[in-house]
Amino acid sequence: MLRRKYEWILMLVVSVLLVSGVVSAGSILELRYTNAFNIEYLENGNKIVTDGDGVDWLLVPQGQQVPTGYGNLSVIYTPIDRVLLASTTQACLLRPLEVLDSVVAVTASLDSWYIDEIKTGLQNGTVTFVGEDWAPDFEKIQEIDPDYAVVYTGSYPQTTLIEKFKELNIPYLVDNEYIESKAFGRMEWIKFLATFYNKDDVAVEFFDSALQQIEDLQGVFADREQPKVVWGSLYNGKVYVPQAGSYVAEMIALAGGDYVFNHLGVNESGSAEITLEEFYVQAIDADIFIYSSWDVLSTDDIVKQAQILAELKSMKNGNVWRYNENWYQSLDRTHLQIVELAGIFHPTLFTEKINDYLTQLKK
Amino acid sequence: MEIIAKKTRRYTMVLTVLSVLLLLTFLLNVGLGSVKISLIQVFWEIKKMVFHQQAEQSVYRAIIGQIRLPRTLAAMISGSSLAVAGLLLQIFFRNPLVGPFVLGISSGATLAVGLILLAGVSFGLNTAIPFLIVLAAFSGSVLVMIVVLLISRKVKSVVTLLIIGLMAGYFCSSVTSFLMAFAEKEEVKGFIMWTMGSFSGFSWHKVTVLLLIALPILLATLLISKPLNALLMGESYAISMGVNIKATRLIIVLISSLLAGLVTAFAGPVSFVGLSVPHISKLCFGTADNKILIPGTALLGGIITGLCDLFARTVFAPIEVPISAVTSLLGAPIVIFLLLRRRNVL
Repeated sequence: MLRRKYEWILMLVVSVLLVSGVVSAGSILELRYTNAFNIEYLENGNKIVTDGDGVDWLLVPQGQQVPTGYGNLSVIYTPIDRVLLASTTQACLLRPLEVLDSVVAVTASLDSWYIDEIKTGLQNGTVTFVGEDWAPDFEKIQEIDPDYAVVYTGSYPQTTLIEKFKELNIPYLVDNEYIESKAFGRMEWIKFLATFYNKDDVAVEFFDSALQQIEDLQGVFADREQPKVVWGSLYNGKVYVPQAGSYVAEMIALAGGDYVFNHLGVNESGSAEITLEEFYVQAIDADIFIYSSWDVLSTDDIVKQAQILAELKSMKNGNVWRYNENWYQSLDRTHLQIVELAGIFHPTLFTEKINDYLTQLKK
Repeated sequence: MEIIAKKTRRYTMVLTVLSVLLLLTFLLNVGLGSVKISLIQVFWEIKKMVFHQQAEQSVYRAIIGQIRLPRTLAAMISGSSLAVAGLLLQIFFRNPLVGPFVLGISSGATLAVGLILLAGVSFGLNTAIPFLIVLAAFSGSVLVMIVVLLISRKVKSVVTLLIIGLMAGYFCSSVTSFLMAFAEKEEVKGFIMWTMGSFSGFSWHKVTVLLLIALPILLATLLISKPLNALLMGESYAISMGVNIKATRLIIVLISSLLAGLVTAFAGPVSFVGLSVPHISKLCFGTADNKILIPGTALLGGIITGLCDLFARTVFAPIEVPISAVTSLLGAPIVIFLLLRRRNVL
């Protein structure tokens, strides 16, 4: 009886979506910043999803018959439940979908998490830490027996996990959001994960709303002078700065800043290692210094690592900020991070001070 | 005559004890893990697997059959391979400080893996390719081995060959350091994890390949125990005994390099086993006879590596400790203890 009721609700939701134009049978979900996955809508709420590894899955709403003609595709009944996440950022994307209660296992320990739902789950035992992804405790994973695992491939593939999952018959979905060089390309993967929960509409609405917020933001500082921004961190005497083609450089631009390393790796994503003197020369006149780590508590901590940095304009003016611990686990809040950056770059335009993702450093 | 008979009895006894210990280690590895499974259940599941009894695939069966069994076999056969490789090279170079990676085998494998993990050489494929790391590591080892073998034909002194091997290792390590300097932090982390070695996630496919190659090579080493014994007395003596030095040299380098390269390819560099186990073996048997030492070292290598892997995966579970950290941590005190106890000179 319950199942029948559920089917009706599902059909109703699909019909509403079809009428509203969000989803139409035979259509393909519009992706604006990535082409690394694909979602094709079929009749009766069925879908074909191509994951980050190019593997096609046939998604069928629970309680429905598998449609004929797709015999070569593996079937996933949606919404999925009991999921193992092999990356913290995947959990970020599940947060706006309000499906974090489907997570049963993770490969990061309690003290690595800054997502309340996962932290609570790990504390009360509904979520289990199954060891690091390079050498996880496969026994524990087998005991938990997740229905699905979400993994990544790309430049740093989780080969150990993937090969063993094949043997243990644990289906895995490849979410390669970390490869994306565009800030909203990473965030757009929310649509990929959402479709396994039949929450395509929620993801589209959430994503569009985030984009709108950033679009509106551009008007606020359109005719203002852009402050010079330097972004990076030190480790063992080396300096790591985002390359010009990275999502961080894009975030700086979207927040109305002028990134001083805009010439470095124009078509390259990720970060580059540069010498301290190279960093110093470029950073000396920068108005704002964003220290991309949380291992410093004051500007003195930075100076201890490199005395010469005390001479930076940003250091002298106290315009130095560091990441909060939740920085990387805020992928779903990229737009809010940009808004916070805009507040730092243009303090006179934003009266409300937000310090959710960055903290200003004192001496 | 009496002395020989006494010695033979002793060797037989030690070999029997080691065989029993190997079996116990095997059972311990299959029986223990982060998931508590009673011993009765373990035996029951193994029995069902061995006799192909139809049974519903249970969680315990999957854990024992698909996680613990392949991993245990991998750790044991790898330990045996490294230990025998180390023994062969220690005899060949007549140097107790020599390990299986002395000829640059591990550095070659590490460089090849570094090219993939650090320099992103993935043949245009942006995905997790099964066996890619294994193939790369093995190719790296074999390449270094070929270079060393080609050079070995030109040099007469084993010391020169040893130095060439060391130089090949330094060369590969140097290139790897260059790759690390230019790599991103995330890439370096993944690479360092690989260099510390692990038997985690060993699949039946990998174990099968490992067994099919390593076992015949291990058995083949028994065939060269006689020339090895002759080499112990020096090359001139070996020649006078009719040993073909060139061929023996080639076979020793080939066998030891293949064994070490194979293990490194599948599990990453596993340190200390190849260096320490031959010593422990010599101290246990109190002989230099390779007919006894080769099987003894193989058994001990399997036992010690099996126990180290058990420690690595269970003590801090679900976090796993790198296998090389454990082999060195447990192996070094054992060697020192045995040396002090026996007051033997290696």
